[in-house]
Amino acid sequence: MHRGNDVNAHAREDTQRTLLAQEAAHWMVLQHAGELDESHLRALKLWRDRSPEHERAWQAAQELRLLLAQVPQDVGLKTLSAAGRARRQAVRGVLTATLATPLAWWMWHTIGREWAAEYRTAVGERRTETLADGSRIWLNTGSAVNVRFTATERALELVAGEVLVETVHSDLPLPPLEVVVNAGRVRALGTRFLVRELREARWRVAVLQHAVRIRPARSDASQAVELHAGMQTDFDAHRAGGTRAADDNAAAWRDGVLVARDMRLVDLTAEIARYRRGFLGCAPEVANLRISGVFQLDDTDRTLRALAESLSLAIRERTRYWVTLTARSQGT
Amino acid sequence: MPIALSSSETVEHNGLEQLYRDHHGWLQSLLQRKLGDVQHAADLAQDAFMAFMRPRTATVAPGGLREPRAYLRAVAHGLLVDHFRRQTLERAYLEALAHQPEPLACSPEDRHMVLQALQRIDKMLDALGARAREVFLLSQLECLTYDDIARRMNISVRTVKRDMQSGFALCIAAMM
Repeated sequence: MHRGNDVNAHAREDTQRTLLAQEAAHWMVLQHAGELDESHLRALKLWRDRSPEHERAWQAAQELRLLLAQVPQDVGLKTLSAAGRARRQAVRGVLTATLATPLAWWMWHTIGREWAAEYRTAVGERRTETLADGSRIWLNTGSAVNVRFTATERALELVAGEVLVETVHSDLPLPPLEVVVNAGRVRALGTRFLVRELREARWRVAVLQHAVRIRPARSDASQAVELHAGMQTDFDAHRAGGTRAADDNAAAWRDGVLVARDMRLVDLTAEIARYRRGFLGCAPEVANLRISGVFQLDDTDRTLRALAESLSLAIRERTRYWVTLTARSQGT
Repeated sequence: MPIALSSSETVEHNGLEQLYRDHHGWLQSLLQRKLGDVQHAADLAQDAFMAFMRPRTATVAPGGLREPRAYLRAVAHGLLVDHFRRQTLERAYLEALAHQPEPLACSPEDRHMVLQALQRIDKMLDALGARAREVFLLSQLECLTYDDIARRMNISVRTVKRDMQSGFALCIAAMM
């Protein structure tokens, strides 16, 4: 969990930078349009004085001017327009493939082209993508998927985290779609399913619709396991474990919530911890408390406060990144 | 694209040397296939390995670096994209120079400086749509007024302002 504690900080910095840049841009546009009057100038001065970051944004705008001034007019415009055009033409093919229906993708790939993409989410982030064959994927927090479509395979390499896959029916003879992990392959049999990393080289598959076939990397084909809707199983490189009923709400994260049904606090905090930086745990004396509820994933601080409130727990923060839920001590 | 990486611990653990021994070969031949040029491929492969060492601004780390191969491939891909975009721009620049009615009397150093400035600008404007890009360039490089641009491109002054706002915001954020 300690990995990339600074990512949130970076995300915040990015957001702040974007906002300041937008405000500075606004001043630049006013200035350019010749609409900066006396009152504007005073407001601009106040804006710049608001913080060193505000001033830095303004200075960046001035440096931009200097940079642009280095470029001789005519040559600059010609070069940058031509380069932009060339690139748009180069990517047009790729774009078509990206937005395409399975048919377009089929045509694309029969003329010998491949399609590849990489998707990442930071901790606490989720995203959804439509792939070249029309399938959709949802990436949960802290996940990485490399997509590789060729004439012989449609592989989603799940490097880390969790992915929900929804395939679309196609009459075309497309190669099988598989989620590939370091412990094996999960082949979609016209379906919606989840693959999630439990720990190093151990994965959980839950099927929401139709079926998948799981093939651990170090097993032979006869040991492949077929898993049907409503069931889940864990597997490593050697074997898939027993199957059991899948949690109905396993994919609730897609909608930004976590649904707990009679869940132990220790399991719930472990689950919430996936969506935030740093350590989150609970004290042994409260670990076995049972909780049911729907929890928001986007603001886990708030979720924790609500949780502590309803269970009369204390939130102990040693640092922002080391949070423990404990029993409330007497008198507090 | 933000790239996933958490290099230091794993790299320290495995040793960069080991990583290099294990992965340098295939990476360089992959790049060589795409570039058709041994020297460039060697340079880019080197850059990809250096990316492991550099402290990153955004270290996103799903799964750490258990898949150095996948990660190196992603890094190399990014470097290739950069390389091709620089190459495209350089060609466009030389072409534009060649078509100058009166050859600009400028030294190779000047030319290099201009090219570098162009590359920075090009990169900053990457996320801008085709129209906004043209609006921005007409305003900033041709020094046309917003009214002129609106007339010339047959769009409203409001649209011009909006495009300029997006262009400035992108550039300023990149320069901060």
